[in-house]
Amino acid sequence: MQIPPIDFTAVYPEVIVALVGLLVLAVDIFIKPQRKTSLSAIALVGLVLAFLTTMLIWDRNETAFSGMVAVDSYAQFFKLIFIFSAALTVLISPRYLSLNNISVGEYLELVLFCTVGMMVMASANDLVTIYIGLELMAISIYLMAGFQRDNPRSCEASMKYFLLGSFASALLLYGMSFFYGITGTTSLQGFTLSPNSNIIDSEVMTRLPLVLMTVGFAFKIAAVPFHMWTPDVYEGAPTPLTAFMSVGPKVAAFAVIMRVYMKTFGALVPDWVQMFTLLSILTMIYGNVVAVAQKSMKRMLAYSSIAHAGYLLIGIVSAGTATEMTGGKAMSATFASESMMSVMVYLFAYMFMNLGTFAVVISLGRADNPRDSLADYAGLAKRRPLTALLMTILLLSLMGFPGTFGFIGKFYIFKAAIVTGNLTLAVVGVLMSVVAAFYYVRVVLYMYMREPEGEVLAEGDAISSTMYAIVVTTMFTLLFGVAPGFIIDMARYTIERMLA
Amino acid sequence: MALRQVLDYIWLIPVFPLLGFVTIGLLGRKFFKGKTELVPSIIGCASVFLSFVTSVLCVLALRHIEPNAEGVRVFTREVFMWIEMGAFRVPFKFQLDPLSSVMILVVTGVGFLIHVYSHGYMHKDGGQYRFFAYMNLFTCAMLILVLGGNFLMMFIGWEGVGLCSYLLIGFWFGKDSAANAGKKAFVTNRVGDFGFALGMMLIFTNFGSLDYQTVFAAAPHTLAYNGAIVTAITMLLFVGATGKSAQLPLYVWLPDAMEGPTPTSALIHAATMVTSGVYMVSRCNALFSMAPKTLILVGAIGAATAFFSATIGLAQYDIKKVLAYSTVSQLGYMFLACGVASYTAGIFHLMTHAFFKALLFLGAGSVIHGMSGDQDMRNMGALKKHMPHTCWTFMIAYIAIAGIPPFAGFFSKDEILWKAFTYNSPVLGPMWGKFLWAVGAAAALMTAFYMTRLICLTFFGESRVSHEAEHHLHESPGAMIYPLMALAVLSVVGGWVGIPEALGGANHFHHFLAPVLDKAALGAHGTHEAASAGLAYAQEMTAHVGGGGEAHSRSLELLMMFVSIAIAGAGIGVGYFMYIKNPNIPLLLQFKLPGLHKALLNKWYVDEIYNFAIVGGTKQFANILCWFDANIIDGTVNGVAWLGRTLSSASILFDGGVVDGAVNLVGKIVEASSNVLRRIQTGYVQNYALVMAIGVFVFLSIYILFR
Repeated sequence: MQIPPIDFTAVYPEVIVALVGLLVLAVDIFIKPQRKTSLSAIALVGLVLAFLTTMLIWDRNETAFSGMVAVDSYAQFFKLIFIFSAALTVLISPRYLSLNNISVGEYLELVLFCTVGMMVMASANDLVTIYIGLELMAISIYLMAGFQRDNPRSCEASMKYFLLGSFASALLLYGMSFFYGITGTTSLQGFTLSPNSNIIDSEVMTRLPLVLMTVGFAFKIAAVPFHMWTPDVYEGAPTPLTAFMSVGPKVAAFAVIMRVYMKTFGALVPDWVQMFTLLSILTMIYGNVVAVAQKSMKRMLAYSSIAHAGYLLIGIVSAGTATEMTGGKAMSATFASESMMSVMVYLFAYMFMNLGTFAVVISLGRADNPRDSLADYAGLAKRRPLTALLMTILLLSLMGFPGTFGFIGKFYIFKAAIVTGNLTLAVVGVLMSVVAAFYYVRVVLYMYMREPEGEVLAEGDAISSTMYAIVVTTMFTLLFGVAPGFIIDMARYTIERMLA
Repeated sequence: MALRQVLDYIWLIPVFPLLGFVTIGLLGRKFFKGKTELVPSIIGCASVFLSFVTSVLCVLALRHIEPNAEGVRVFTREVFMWIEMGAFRVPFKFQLDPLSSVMILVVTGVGFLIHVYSHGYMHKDGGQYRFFAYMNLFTCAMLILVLGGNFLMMFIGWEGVGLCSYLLIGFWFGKDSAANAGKKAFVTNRVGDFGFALGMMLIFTNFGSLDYQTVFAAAPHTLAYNGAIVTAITMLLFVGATGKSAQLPLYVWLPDAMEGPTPTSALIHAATMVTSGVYMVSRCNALFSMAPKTLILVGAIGAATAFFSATIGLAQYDIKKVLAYSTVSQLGYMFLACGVASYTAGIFHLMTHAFFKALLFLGAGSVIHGMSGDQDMRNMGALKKHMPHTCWTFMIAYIAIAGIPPFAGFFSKDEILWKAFTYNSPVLGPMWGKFLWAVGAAAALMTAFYMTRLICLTFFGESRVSHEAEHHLHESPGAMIYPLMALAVLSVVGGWVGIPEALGGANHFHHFLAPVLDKAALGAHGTHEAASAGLAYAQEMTAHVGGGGEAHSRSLELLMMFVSIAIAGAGIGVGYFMYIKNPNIPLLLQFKLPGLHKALLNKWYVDEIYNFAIVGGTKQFANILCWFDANIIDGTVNGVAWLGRTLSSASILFDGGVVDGAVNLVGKIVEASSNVLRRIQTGYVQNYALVMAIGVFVFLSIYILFR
């Protein structure tokens, strides 16, 4: 048997990030404790290298490792999001870590490994590859969630996430095994490769893996009713990690969902569209309504991130409807790619604004007091005018205010829903955006119009890498809010090549 | 060709001043004060200089671009997609063609000289960082205005220069008059901007695009010649131009704008910004040439403005006010040129005017600098011996604006007058052109006269300088004098690029711009493909416009030239006679014609009329609304409130029983449901797993068991 050729250039970004992760771990042993900040610098340099190599293989359109890995610009687009979110996480972490006595080296190494896992997911062209990436990502996060060993909430978060995550992974694997049983392959071309076309006609058999895998992915994007872990884990985990895992795994799961459901399950569109419609409506309503009642910022953002997953699912449903609608006419193909484009643009926007908002939460924390309750934000505009202004912009973007990147994302998602006839989803989405406006604007109201009650503890220092992250995310939120053409063109290009 | 690649970096031209603005603006207040106040000057000048060098290279590189189907060497570059909403696609696009080449060279070249001058003028002001930040921002906006490849880009620049103009007029915002002048300029410009925006929207609804090339190429097919739509579009655009370029009836802001620092007056309110209306009309010549009715309006407004403001200039005593009215008058000339479809002549005058009017303003600034801030010409006189360099540079600019050959102003002004004289209006016939010529010639006579008056009162005659001021009187520093000299050279030679063929010149300038601006006229000579490509309007234009060019003989053109020179000479002569030879004649006239003199001195009371009719009217209207608000609306509100109070006291019983009950019920429901939700979110991991398992069960049931 001949060993198939191994093309490492196809996975350069993954390789680089993994190697840098190991390097950080090794350097961590030899470096003096007071010079640990240089580890962050190493990680950032590694991520820049990964960014460059991603651009290097941007235009390739092929598979590598015997078809296990897809090397296409669709994967590279998502890798860019992961690299950005990892870099921002590296920026926002040091302050929090030093306040809470968390070891920098292992933390950064796990962030990088988690990034590798997400990259593998985005470029996976095989169920096994997807699973490997997903577990690499998930296990890194289980560990990081419990990093504050002396804090019971952190340990609890880690344990809960681990148990429920294992449960979800088991369901996902169960679905994959059915898939293998039906088609005889784990490749994403599965149903089209299968010689046994009469099995596909048996609806029960094809729906079983579909439902089980959907549940597995729905867990990762925290869609209702598979969201139960989210508030507890988000609240217990170290805040920079919460920021990271509210973005990274969700984006990775959406990358996989779009590839698997649009390509592999393309023949089963009517089934999964219904399922995602239900998930989307439940998620939007539950996430937004419950967020209103929250008093803790971290918990509120946890529910808000659940709600955003609901909006994103609208885009997935629209893409499905578009292919189903007219049975593959030219028109519907455009609608499908436009719907997927809207999801990708929304994910890009979500990455910036969500990480930025969490960065603000981190920058206000103190060693003795996390200061993340809503009441702590009263009068912030007087004490920290710049932070309050940036926070306002980020919150307006999360709300979908025109002129911000968040608006562009929402606009295209709702437009896709209306064009493909999913009016129910569009109406629910818009109504729930109104609810969302309430709890986002309430924070602004507290910052600008409320006087703090009782004695005020000063916030932490403003000048730190966390502040850079806030400024950078806000600038991108505004820049792409005014001139989104660049991102839109990029997303369109990748989608067209992926679907072709 | 390596030079060709320079064009790929065309976006650098506006970016340099932008960087300057950002650097000075962000760091200025904190770091560039006191001992380091030199830094903003250096950054400000350097950024504009870099921009100028890039512009020169780009213009040279443009020669290596192959002419397109219409014979224009045009280079476009989309930097990024800016707005994309369905059919509304606007890229951030730069376009370089001969017309924008002229504009960027003027803006960066004259702009650089004025920046250098500003360094001397603003010395020890304490606000350098603010001044240079605004000036750089202005340069950036102006460059975007002239380099933009679509109407929206022009609009960015249009609004940007308006903003900077406002900021710089009100630069010394501690003075009430400066703050008010800034406000006046801004509000008056709004009126024009409104017209421009409407015109732009009308273009989009008719063409589905805002791109210059698309719109102008489609215009002959999409719109009817002399139709209602093209007339409406061009009228609206021209309203915008009257606002920005200070034409009747929106010119009133420009004289007040002299409250700003003098370099500002030179750069913004003489050389560049105020000419953007002329640039816009010339840029849209494809549209304007299709709307002869609008052209008549343009010509009429231009001629009226040229004449009207020249009369005001006759009696002003503030040295900058005279120059301001002179600017308004010269801008009127440029519109007069546009109105006779001779856009090239308009742009030519725009360029020469930028040279000599910038020089006049800077010279006036030098005088004011020397006079310790006094601007009243009655307090000057015989300054020649104190400020020799300022005097001779000023003299050159004066001869140029008066229209004496071979100085720059003669060629451009004469071309305008000649084109007007030979213009054959499609609507009003050849006499319209003759009439415009007559008005223009009268204005030229007055121009020569009031400029002579200014020169005589300032530099010659007897000294009326107060003893105190004379003590401080001094020539300005080098940073101010060298730009004056450079501009003086330009004021002499600047016109030589456009020496008409009748004088044996080659008129390079005309040929350089002709592909962009004179399509119809070129068609008449049969030298051009585009115009002869069978476009109906072009042939129509040929019949109307171009016919004159050949018909009139060279000797007539020469004769008209002598007439212009004679007019200029007459103006100068009368001025010399009245202010040097017999200085008591002006007083005598003042005594004999007190009404006229007073009217001129008070600028024909236009400000008062506007104040009474428009500002007062608006205030009256506001008062009526206020009364309406206080009595009718508040009355209604109070009535309703009374009714509400009565009703509410009646419904207290109802409220307490039923409504509160309902509200409480809703509250109870929310509370109950949140209790349920809280019970779900127990914190027990086994319960979470159970919920997930139920979810799986439900999905499987829906999709497998029940279908």
